[in-house]
Amino acid sequence: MKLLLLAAVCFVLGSCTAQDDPVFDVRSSRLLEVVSAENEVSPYVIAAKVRTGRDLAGACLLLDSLTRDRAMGGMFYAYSLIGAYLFTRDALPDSLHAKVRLAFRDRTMYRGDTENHWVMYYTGLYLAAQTWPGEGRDTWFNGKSSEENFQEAAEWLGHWMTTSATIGQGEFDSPTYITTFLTPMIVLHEFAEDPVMKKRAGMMLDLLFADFAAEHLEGNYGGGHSRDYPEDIINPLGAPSTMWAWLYFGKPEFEQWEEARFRPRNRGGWETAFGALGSYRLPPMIRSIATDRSEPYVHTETKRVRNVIRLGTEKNPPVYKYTYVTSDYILGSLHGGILQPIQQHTWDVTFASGRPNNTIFTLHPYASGKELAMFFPEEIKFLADEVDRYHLVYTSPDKWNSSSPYERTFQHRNTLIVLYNIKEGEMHPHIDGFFPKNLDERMESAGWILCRAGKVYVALHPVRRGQWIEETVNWRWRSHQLKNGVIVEVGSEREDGSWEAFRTSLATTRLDTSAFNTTLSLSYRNRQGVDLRFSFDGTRMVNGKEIHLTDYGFFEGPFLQSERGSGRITMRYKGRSRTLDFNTTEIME
Amino acid sequence: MVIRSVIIAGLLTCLMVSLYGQTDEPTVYVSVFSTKLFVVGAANPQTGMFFQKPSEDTVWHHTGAKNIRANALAVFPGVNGRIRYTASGNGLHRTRDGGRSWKITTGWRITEIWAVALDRTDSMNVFIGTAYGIYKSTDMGDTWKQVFTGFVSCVIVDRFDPSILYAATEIGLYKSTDRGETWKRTGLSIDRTRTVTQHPKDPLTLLAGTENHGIYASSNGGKTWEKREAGIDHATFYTIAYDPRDPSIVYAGGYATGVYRSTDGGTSWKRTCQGFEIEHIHSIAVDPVHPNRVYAGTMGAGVYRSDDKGETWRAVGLPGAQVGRIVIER
Amino acid sequence: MFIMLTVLAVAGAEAVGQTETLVMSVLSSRKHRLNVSDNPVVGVFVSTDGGETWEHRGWKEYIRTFYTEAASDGVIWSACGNGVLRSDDGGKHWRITTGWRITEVLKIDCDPSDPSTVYAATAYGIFKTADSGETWEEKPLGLKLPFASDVLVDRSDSRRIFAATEEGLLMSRDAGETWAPTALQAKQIRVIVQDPVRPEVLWVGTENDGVFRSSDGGRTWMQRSAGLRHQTVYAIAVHPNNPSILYAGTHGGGVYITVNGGERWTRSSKGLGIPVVHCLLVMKTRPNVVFAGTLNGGLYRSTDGGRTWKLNSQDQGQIWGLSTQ
Repeated sequence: MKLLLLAAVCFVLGSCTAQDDPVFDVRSSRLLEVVSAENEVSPYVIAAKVRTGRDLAGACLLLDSLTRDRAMGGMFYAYSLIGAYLFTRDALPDSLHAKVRLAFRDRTMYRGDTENHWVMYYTGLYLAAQTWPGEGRDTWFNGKSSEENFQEAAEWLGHWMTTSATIGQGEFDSPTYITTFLTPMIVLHEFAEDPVMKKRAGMMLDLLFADFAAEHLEGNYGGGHSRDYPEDIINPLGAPSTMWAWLYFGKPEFEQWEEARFRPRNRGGWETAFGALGSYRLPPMIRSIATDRSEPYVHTETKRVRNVIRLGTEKNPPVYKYTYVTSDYILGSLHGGILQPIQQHTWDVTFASGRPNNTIFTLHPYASGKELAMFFPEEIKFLADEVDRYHLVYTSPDKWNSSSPYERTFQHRNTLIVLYNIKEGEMHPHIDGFFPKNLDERMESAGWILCRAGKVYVALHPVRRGQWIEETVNWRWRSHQLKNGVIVEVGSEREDGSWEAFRTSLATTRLDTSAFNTTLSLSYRNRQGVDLRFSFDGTRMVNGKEIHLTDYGFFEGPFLQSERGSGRITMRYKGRSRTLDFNTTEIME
Repeated sequence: MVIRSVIIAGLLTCLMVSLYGQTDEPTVYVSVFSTKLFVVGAANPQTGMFFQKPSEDTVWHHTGAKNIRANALAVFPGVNGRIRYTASGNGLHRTRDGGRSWKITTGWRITEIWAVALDRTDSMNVFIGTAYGIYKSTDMGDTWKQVFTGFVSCVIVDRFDPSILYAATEIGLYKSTDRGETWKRTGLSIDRTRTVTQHPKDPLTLLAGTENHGIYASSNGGKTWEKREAGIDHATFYTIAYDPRDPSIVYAGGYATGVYRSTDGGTSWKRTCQGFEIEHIHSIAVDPVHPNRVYAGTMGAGVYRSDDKGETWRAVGLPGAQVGRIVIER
Repeated sequence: MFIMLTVLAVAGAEAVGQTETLVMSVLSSRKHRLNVSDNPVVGVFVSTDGGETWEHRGWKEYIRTFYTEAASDGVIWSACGNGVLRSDDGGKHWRITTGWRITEVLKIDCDPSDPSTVYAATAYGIFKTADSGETWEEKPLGLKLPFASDVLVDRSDSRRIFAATEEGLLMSRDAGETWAPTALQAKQIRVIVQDPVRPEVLWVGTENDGVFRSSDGGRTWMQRSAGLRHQTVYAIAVHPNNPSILYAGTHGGGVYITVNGGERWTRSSKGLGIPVVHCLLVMKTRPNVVFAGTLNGGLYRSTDGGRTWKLNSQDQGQIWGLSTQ
């Protein structure tokens, strides 16, 4: 009884917030106004045109083209076509109903081989099978009946949600791929008739947004990323995640698509339009988590490696993530090694500057068929060529995304130590650092590379020297030493008072490299007098006390808490809490 | 009525192939030319192609056209009997689907086919020997070209070099070295040679059987021949067969011969003919998987089988049949 | 008259061109690009004329078709990224027989004694159906990462199944219920092939370790790599009538041939544009016609028993699998 009452209260609260979100209302109207004026064969444009009443005839023509479209990959197509259809079906002529239905018979859709592919594919199948129930095997492209498709999709989506809420996503915290999780979940939440599926889709949206919010700063998705494209890594506000932050967090203030310097690669993808049309509303607490930066905080997470199929010891080893968030910058890192194929972004500092290229990081550009063979089933020796075809940068020595077995990190608040131990004979025997040209200052002094971006100060101390290479928007710092290390200190006007004070404080640090050549260990006393010790073998110590990465929570920080495996995620803000319980499909406030 | 029974026979055949075609037991194929029970115009026992697995003992299955006078047959090796030919007075019957369906590939110009030879390296190439000559096809019999004129009772393709062929003709033993395009007489110029067979491991060693002149051997690809006489009391040999695993063992049969066996590669022979109702042996075949097992086809008493390398024989079915040819293939 | 009727009936019955059905699985093509509409068609291609012409069958979209095999009576099984697909009408219509638990299927093998039983080798282990794909079950290999490149049903005893894994060759004696390592361990097995004449003879190709042969049904193994200068072997094909002639498809060396049962291998890649050969096929009906499927170089054909090669089709295609019925 009590529970029921609680559920009823929650429901009422939910309804209230849905009606009462002026930021979202203003921005969603604005977005739909822009998207509905576009004229491309896009499910989001179609939905926006119809739902705003702006151009039904034009939308029908576009939808007709979309049912014949062959360019979009099957999984991208599956959920976005059914989504556009369900958002608009009451307004469509009969002929289009039939054409959309036939697309699910005649278009043979690829399920894909990544987590986001499957979310899109099975969301599409779930909703299509729900829309056309009771139809036989010969009416679906995959030869399965409506019921078989529905059941299979429901089962996998349930499995994915449980996995994501217990051991985490494999494609976690991706500024690019977050779109491919949020959009299907918005469609699923909007149209699933099964109240449990609908509710779980809503909880997944809460989880995805909360996960983002805790590492969000002014439209930037900070910290380490499982997967990202180099364009977005070196220009964080150009990532698709910024579109979602704009709509749901109210940040940044500017409209990303109107700014040439941040214009997303997939402009015209417009997936956020589904969000603008949908009834899902962000719990206000999550927006507060995304935007309240009054106190700096440490936030840790445990994620998982995407499915390892061979050349490993475990299918989904854990990924340990450490992020330090302030009102001016985010310094964040993954613990290192091969955690994801191809597109990993291990660490960076991202500053809230309003400028493009607002980030600094280093990496070892690693590429090997062996790495790819851990995750893809094609032949090991062939894979490097193969993936190079899709991700042209993969084998490039100059790439800006990489997972390297020769890179390890250790972070303590605003101090980070990165160690490199490149094996002899590797394809690319160097490490690179990204330094934007638009920094206010970049200088070298006493072994430190000193950078200032507005009120944010970044200092890097390489153990071994490198050289500077000028590029279009950045300087590339490159070291050809196989063994190297970088100490990173980040500060800000708010923390340090002034740029001079920050630089002066570096003189108080002490770096002991005596064990570097033998055991690849560094001992470092930082500006706060904290003694850090880090060895490439994985020993991490703070003031003589060993840090165990396994102690990291599933989420651990002031805003989000969860124990790995529990399936319960608690958000806290100013004395209030909201718990998502995926075991019972309940939300407790 | 006739059509329906053909279809049923076809279905049965297809069932048999799927039931048996995938084990490692080979299949024995025989062509039945006629039976002594044959009466023109009556409901006669079937002739044509029959097959069995050795484990079926005396049970045979008919396949293809009924009541054709099947002089010879050929089975392309290694494809579970999918490609087969039956040579008859009507022409050359072909199946490419394991007996499910058959087609006569020859027209009115080709008749009285006595021999079919296949190129093991390319099933497109087919050679037939007829009463009027040798014909060659490079499209599995869809089109034919005459390449030799004269009565031909046996054609074989060299197992090691498919450009070489041998033919037993009424004017001697002939050889082609250009895929059957042109023919030259070998050193064996005896009239009415009947059969020629190649050593399974040594391409230059050949044995030939003749009408009235016994068995000849060549060790140089037909250039020169030597008569083999040790132990031989008969003169007409229609068939000679090597043991494919142990080629020192050779079998031969012919008019009133019963079965002869040699254990020294054909130099000396011994008659082993217990158990035959009729001792005219038209065809002998050795099981390639179990070489102790030898089949002999008689002219009028069906098929006989030995399980002890030809020492003892027993009838294994098709009573009364005049067997044209036996082929055992996997 | 009687004979004439028979002849007519028989003559009208023969199906056209059913001699030998070759099936090629084109995984992808170097010409392929994501999210464009004019990509080369990939997937399943069938030839009934010895590779003169190839006809695409069924699904045109890229679903990662690794291997396809025609069974009897128009049934075709296909191993794909999407799962195991089955067609009952020669490839016109397909059904995905597997659910979400089965993905990245690299190879299938049908039980020769029971057409409703099929084994699938996948990036996540071995799966089996005993009811023509209505239901599938995992057959756990007991490995932490049970990646399986290939699976083989022993045709002389269909309870004996071999699985090619990254840790070595495993064998089951009870139709997949339990597995045990064979003597061939600590090798990444890429392919396993049974001699068409003597079922007790087995051949294995490995990553980096060349070719192995067993003559006792998989109990003991001997290295048979003399002359093989490229030791990663993706494909092995045995001559259908003469099992001492074998072909090996290697990474980097193209095709190797042995004429003495693996005593000595000789490279034979004349004309082969790309030396990465992932699959091989010797025609049963024309054993001098040999196909080599390359990764990113398309399908090559030899009409002289593998001495010389010519591009046949699918220029720049990734030919992952070849099979013949």
